[in-house]
Amino acid sequence: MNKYILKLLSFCLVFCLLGACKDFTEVRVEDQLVLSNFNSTDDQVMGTLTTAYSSLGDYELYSVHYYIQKEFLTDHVKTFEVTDGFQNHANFQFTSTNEFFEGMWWSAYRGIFRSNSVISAEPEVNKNPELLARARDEALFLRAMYYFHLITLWREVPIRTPENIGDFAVANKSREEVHAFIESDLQMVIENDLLPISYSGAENQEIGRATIGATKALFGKVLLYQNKFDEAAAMLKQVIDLGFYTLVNNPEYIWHIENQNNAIGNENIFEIQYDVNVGGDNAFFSDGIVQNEGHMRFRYVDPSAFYNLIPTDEIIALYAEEPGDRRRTAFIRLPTEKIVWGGDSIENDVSGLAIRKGLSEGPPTAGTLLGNNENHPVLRLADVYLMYAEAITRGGGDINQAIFYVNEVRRRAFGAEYANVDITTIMNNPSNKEELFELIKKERAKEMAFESQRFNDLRRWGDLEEAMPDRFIPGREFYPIPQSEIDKSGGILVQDPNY
Amino acid sequence: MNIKITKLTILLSLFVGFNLQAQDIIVKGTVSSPDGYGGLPGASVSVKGRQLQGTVTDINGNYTVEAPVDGTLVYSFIGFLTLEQNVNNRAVIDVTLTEDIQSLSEVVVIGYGSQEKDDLTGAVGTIDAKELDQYPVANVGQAMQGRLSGVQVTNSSSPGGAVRVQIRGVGSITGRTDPLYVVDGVFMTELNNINAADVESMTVLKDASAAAIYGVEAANGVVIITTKKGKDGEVKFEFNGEVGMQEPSRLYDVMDTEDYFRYANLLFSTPTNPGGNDISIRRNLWVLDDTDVSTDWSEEVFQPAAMQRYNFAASGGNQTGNYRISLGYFNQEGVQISSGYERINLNINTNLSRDRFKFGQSLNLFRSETISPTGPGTTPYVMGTIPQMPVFNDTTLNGYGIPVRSLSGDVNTGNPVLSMALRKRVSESLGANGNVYGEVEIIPGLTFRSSLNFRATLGNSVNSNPRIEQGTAVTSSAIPSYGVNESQYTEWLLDNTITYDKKIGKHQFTILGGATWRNRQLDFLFISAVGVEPTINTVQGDKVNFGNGITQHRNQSVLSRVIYSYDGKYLFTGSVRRDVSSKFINNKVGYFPSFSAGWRISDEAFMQNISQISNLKLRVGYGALGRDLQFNDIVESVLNPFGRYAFPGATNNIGYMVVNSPSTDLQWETVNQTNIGLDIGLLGERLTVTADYFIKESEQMLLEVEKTRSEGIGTDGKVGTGLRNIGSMINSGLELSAEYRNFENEVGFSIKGNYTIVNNTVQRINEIGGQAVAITNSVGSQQVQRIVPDETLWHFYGYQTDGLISVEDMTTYGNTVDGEFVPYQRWAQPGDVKYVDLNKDGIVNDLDRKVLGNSIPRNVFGLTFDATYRGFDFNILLEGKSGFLVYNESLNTLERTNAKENRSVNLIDNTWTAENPNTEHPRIKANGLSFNFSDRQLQNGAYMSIRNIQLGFNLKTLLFKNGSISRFRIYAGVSNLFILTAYEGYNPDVWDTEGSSGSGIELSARAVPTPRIYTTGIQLNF
Repeated sequence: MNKYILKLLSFCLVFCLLGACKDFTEVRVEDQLVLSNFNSTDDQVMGTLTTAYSSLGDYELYSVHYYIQKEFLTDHVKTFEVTDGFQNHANFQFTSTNEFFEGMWWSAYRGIFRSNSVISAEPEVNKNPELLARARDEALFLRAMYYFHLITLWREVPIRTPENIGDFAVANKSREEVHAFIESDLQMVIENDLLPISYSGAENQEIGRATIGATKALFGKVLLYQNKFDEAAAMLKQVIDLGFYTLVNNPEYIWHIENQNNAIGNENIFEIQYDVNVGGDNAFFSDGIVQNEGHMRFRYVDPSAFYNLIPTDEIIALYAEEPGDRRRTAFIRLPTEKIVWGGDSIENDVSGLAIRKGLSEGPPTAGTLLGNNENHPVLRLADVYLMYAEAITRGGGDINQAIFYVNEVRRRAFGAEYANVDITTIMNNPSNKEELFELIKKERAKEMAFESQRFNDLRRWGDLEEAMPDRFIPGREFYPIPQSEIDKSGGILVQDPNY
Repeated sequence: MNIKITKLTILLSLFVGFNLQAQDIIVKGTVSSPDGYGGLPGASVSVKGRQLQGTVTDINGNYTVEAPVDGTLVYSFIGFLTLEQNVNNRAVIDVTLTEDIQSLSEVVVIGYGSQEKDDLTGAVGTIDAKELDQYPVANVGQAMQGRLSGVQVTNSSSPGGAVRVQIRGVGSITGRTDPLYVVDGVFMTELNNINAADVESMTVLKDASAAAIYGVEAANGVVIITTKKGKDGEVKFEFNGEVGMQEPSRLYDVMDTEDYFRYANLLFSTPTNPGGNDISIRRNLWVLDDTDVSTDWSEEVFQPAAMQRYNFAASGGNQTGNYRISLGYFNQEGVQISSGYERINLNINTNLSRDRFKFGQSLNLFRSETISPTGPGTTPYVMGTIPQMPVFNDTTLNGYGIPVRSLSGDVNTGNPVLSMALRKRVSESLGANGNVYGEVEIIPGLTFRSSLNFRATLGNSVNSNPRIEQGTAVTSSAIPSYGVNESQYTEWLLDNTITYDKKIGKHQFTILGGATWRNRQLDFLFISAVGVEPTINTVQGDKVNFGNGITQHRNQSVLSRVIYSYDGKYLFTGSVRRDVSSKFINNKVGYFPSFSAGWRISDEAFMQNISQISNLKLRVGYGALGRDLQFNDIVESVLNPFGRYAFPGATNNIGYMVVNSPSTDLQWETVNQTNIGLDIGLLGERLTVTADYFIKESEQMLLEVEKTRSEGIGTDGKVGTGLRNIGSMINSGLELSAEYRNFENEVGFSIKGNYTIVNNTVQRINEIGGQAVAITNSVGSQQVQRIVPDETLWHFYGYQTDGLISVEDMTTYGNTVDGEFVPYQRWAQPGDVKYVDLNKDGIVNDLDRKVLGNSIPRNVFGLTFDATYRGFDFNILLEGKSGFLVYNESLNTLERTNAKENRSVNLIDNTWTAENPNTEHPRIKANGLSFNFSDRQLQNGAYMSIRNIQLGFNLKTLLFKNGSISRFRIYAGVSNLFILTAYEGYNPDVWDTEGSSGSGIELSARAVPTPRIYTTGIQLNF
C-alpha cells in the first residue's frame, strides 16, 4: 500500500513540475509588426529608408511649417494672422513651449533615427548588396540634411548616432561639432561615390532619391554657412562641373509643377516629392503625408485661412529697382492679378496680393484639404551659382568667375530683350569685392525669394537687425529648444542661454 | 447531517404504527427563520427524551410530528440557537428560530482552498449571496461598493460599462489597477459577463499574505468569486423578476434660444483685444425673429430608460452529487439615447462524488450586446448645440432638424439626436467560462486535484456611420464610414494541486503544492473603410484599414503553501509562488513569498474570565506580489508600416517606422505589503470590529513612457514610447469596519460601517541622469496632472487664481521697472482670469504653477443598515468618498467665454464687463492666458451617496400558508437616490473608461449622467 502511495505521489509531483520547462513560455509576437517578423532584412531596410525621406516632407517641415516659419521671420513676408501666438512669433517673442518648434525638432530627429537605422543595418544575407550600399549613402545624405536643418534652427543640438540610439536623453553639442559631423557624413558619401548624378531610364523608379550632385550642393552650402569660403567654392564648383544641371530658360518655370523632376530643364538638384494619391487618407497628419500643403495654404489669400503669408512692399520695391525683371511677375501676384480658386469665390479677398512662386493655379487636388502634388525644390542650380559667386567674392577666388555666374542667373531673370543684364553695368567699380557682395545679396534675395533661404542668409551675413530693425531681438537668431525636451532630459539637454 | 435525519425519519415512520402511545398527539407547525424569508426547510424537530421520535421540516418549513401532550419539542438547525417548546396539548406550534451568531464561523474561500474564518491570518473581506440580492447591480463588482473596508468601487454610468475596483489604493501607475478576479478558478480582468444571481460568495484578498498565492497576477489584490452550487435535498426552483425605470440623476443647464442669441451676438461683436483690428467683428449676428424653437438638447439626448432582469434556477442534490442550472436575462437601456446593454446567462454547475473520487464542472455561457452612439461625445457636442435648431423638422430629407448656417458660418455642430439615432456601435460577445475538475483522496487527508479552467469569447463589434445630410453647415457627418472588428479569445488554465491535511494532537496543518499553466490567445481581424455606406458589403480603394493577428500570453507557475495552527490559538501561514511569464525577454522568472501569523488571544486561559470579549485575534503578515505585463504589451521594437514617400514611378512606397523601442531588461512590478490587523468580537459576537493597518510599497512600477523627441522613435502623430520600470510608490492606510447585528427579536437589525484612509506617496519616478522628471497627464493641450516624488499619484498641478483682473489691476497688478509699469500678465485685459505670480519673478508663466490637490480619494466609507420585522425586510446602503478634487472639464467647457457654441446658464448676463465687474466669469471673447489650467477648474469631489434602498415583504406567510411555495417576496428599491456633494457635475465619482489614468477628471467628451434607478421585483422559491 505504501509503495502504491509513493508511486502515485511521485507521479503527481512530476506532473506538477513538468511546467518548469522553458519552452512553454516562449511566445512569438504575431499581433504587431516587429523586427523578428520580417523575412527579408533588405525589405525592412529599404522601407525604413523610405520613411527617412518622408520626414522631410512632413507637415512640420516642408509641407507647411518649416517653410512658413522661416519666411515669417524675414523682411520680405508679412501675415494677416492676428492671434497673439503668430504676432509674438513674427516679433521674435519665441517661447520654448511653441508647438511648431517642437514639431520641427521632432520631424528632423525622426528622419535622423530612421537614417541611423539604415546606416547601422547589418548587411547579413542580403540579396542585393549594391542596393544596400547605396541605401546607406542615401541615409548619410539625409542625416546630413536633417542635421543641417537642425543647426540652422537651433544654436546647439544633440547628435544622435547609431551608438546612442537607445539613450533617453543626449546632451547638446556645439555648432562646430555638429558641422563637423555633417561634413563627415557628406564626405563619406562623396568618397564612396555610389550615388548617381541622376536616376533615369531603368532607374526611373528611383527618381527623387539623393544624388551625388545633391550631396555636393548641400556640402557646399554647409561650408558656406560656416564661412569656409574657399572650401565652399571648390565644392560648389564640383556641382557645376558635373555638367548635368542647367538653368531653365524662364523664371516662370522656377518651382513650377511643369518642371517637376526636371521635366523641362535640369535646374532642380533635390526636390521633396509629393503626390496626394500615394498616402490616401492616411496621409493627413502622419508620416505618410505626401501632399504639399504649404504651397497652397501659403499663398491662398483668405484671411481666415491659417498662416497665410503675403509679400511686403520691400520685396516688391526691390524688383522695381531694375525694370524688366521677370521674376516679379513669376514670383508675386499683385492685387490686379486676382486669383480665382476653384468654384469657391474668395469673397474676403483683402488685398489680392499673393506669393505666386510654386503656386499651382487651380483648386487643390480633389479630395484633399489644401494639399497638392507639387514637389518642393530644396536645392537648385541658381542657388548653387549664387552661393559659388558669394564664396569666391568673400574668399580668395577669381572675381570674374563670380560675376559670370551671377550674370547667368540675371540673364535668365531678365530675358534677352533687356540689355543691361550684366551685373557689371550696375557696379561702380567692377573689381570691388565689397560692392559685388552687396549686389550678390540683393540678387540672392530676388532669386531665392520665398524659398526659406532669406532668414538663414540674413543671419549668416549679420544683417538681421538691419533688415528688421523694429522686430529683431539680438540673441534670438535661433529658436529655443522645445521645453518638453528639456523637461524630459533631466538636465542633460541645456537651453540656449538667450532664453 | 440532513441525510442522516432523513434516514431517521424513514426509520421513525416504520415505528409509528407499533409505538403509538395513548397520550401522544399529532403536532403540526412551521419553523421559520427570523429574516422574513419564511419557512426553514430541513430543520430538525425532535421529541425530548425520545431519541427515535422526530422529523425534519419540508421545503416550506412545515412539520408534522407525534409527541406526548406534556412533552417537549426541540427545534434545531445549523447556525441557529436550539429552541425548546412545551407541547401543552397544542396541535399547532409555529416557531421562529434565532441565529446563533457564535456558531456563524463561515468557511471562507481562499486561493486554492478554503479556511475557517476563525483561522484566517490575512486581511480578507467577504460578501455573500444575500447582500447581492439587496442591490440590483448590473456588474457584480458594484456589489462591493460601500460594503467592504479597503475596497474602492467606481461605477460606470454607461450600460454594460466596466466597474473599477481598487483595493487599498491605486497600486500602479498605469493600465489596470483592478484586482484579479478568480471566478470558479478562471482568471478574469472584469466581471461584465457574470450574472449576479449566480454568485454564492465573493472573497476579497486584500493583503499580500492572502493574495501571494496568486503571485504575478496579484499586485492589485484578488477577488475570488464562487458560483452557487446545488444543495442536498429536493429539487428547488427559484424565480426572480425585476423591472426598473432609470432617469438621469443630474443634468447641466444651458441657455435657451433667447439667452444664447444675446450671448452669441455679444461674442461675435467683441474683438479679441479691445481696440484691436479684429476681422472676427465682421460677422452676421443672430436675430430672434422667426424662430420660437428653443431645444434643451440635454433633455433630448438623456431620457428615462427601462431596465429589466429575470432569473430562473433549479437546484438539488444528494450524497452522490449536486447540480444547479440557472438562466438569467438582463436588459438595461441607457439614459443616453441609442445606448443599451443586454445579456443572457446560462449557468450549469454539477459536482459528483463516489468514495475517494470527485468530479465536477462549472459552466457559464453568455451572450451580451452593447449599443453605444459613435458620435463625437457629449458635452461640447450635445449641450453646446445651438438651441434654435428643432429636434425634428418635417421639411428636411430625413425628418430631423438640421442646423441653419448663419451667414458668418459660425455654427458647425450638427443635430446630436440625429447623429446618435443613426450612428452607433453594436458590440456583441458570445462566450463561455468555467472549469472541469477531478479530485482524488489518495490517503485520508492527501488530495490531488486537477482543474482545467477555461474562458472563450467570440467578439463582434460593428461601427456603423451612415451618411447624414445636415446641409452645408455640417460636413463631418456627410462622410460615411463602416468598420467591423471580429475577435476570438481563448484561454485555458490548468491547475494541478496536492493538499495534505493532518491533525496531530493540537497541531493542525495543511500543506499545498501545485503547478499551473496558463495560455491566453486572441485572434483578431478588423476592417474599416471611410466613404462607404454601411449597407454596402464590398469596399475598394485606399481608404480601407485592415488588420489581423494573434496576441498570445503564457504563464507557468509553481506554488506551495503551509498553513499551521496550534490548538486553534497560534496560527501561521507561509507560501511561495514561482512564476514565469512569456512577456519578458530577460527577466522571465519571479518568486513571490509571503507569511502571516495570527494569535487568538481570546482562546488563551487568561481571557476566559472576560466574558464580554468573545473573540480577539491579532494578525500580522508580509508578502510580495507581482504585476505582469498586460496582454497587449510588447517589449520588442514595433514597426508601423504606414510611412509613405512619393517616389514618382515607384510601385512600392511602403515605409516602416519604429514606434516603440525594445525593453529587454524590463522586469515585473512588485508590491511588498505589510499588514497588522485586529479582530474583536464583543457581546457574544453581536458586535464585531476589525481594524487593519497596512503599508503597501509598489516597486519597479511599469509605465509606457513617452520618449524624448530627439530619440526619433514614433510617427508624426505620436511620440514613440517604451515600457520602463519607472519608480516606486507607497500606499499606507488604515481600514476599520464594525458591525452590530441582532436578529434575535421580532425586530432584527444590523448596522455595518466601514472606513478606509489611504495615504499615497510617490517615492521615486522617472529618473533621468539622476534627476526625477515629472510624468504628466494632459487634457487637450492642457497639462493637468503630474507624477513627481513626494506627492500623491496624478495630483493636479496648475495655476492659482485670484478672481478676475479689474480695471484697476491694469495699473497696479505688476511691477514698476525703470519707471515703467510692467504687468504680471503681459497681455491681459480687464475681465481676464487673474493668476498669481507665485514665484514673484514679475511675470506669470509656467513657473508659477503649484500642486493643487489630490485626484485620488483619500477616505472611503460605507454604511449599511438592514432590518427585518415579521415578513418585512429593509436595507439601505450609504457610501462616500472624500479627500480629492475633480477636474470638471464638462462644466469648464460649458463656461468658456470664448466659444460660439451654447453655454451654461451660469453665463447669462453674468460675464465680466466694465458695468458688471463683480462676477467670477471672465469677459466674453477672452483669449490667451485666460484658460490656463488652474484651481478654477477644480471642485471638491467629496460626496455621500444613498447608493441603494430596498424594502421587501415576504407574502409567503400571508398568502401561501401551505403548498409548495417556500418564499414569495416582493420588493421595491431605488439606486442612486441622492448624492450630497458640492461637486457640480454629473457625478464626482468619475472614472473615464477609456483613459489610462482616468482619476478625477470628468471629461466633457465622454461623461454621461449617472442613472437613478427605481426597481420593483418578486422572488419566488418553490
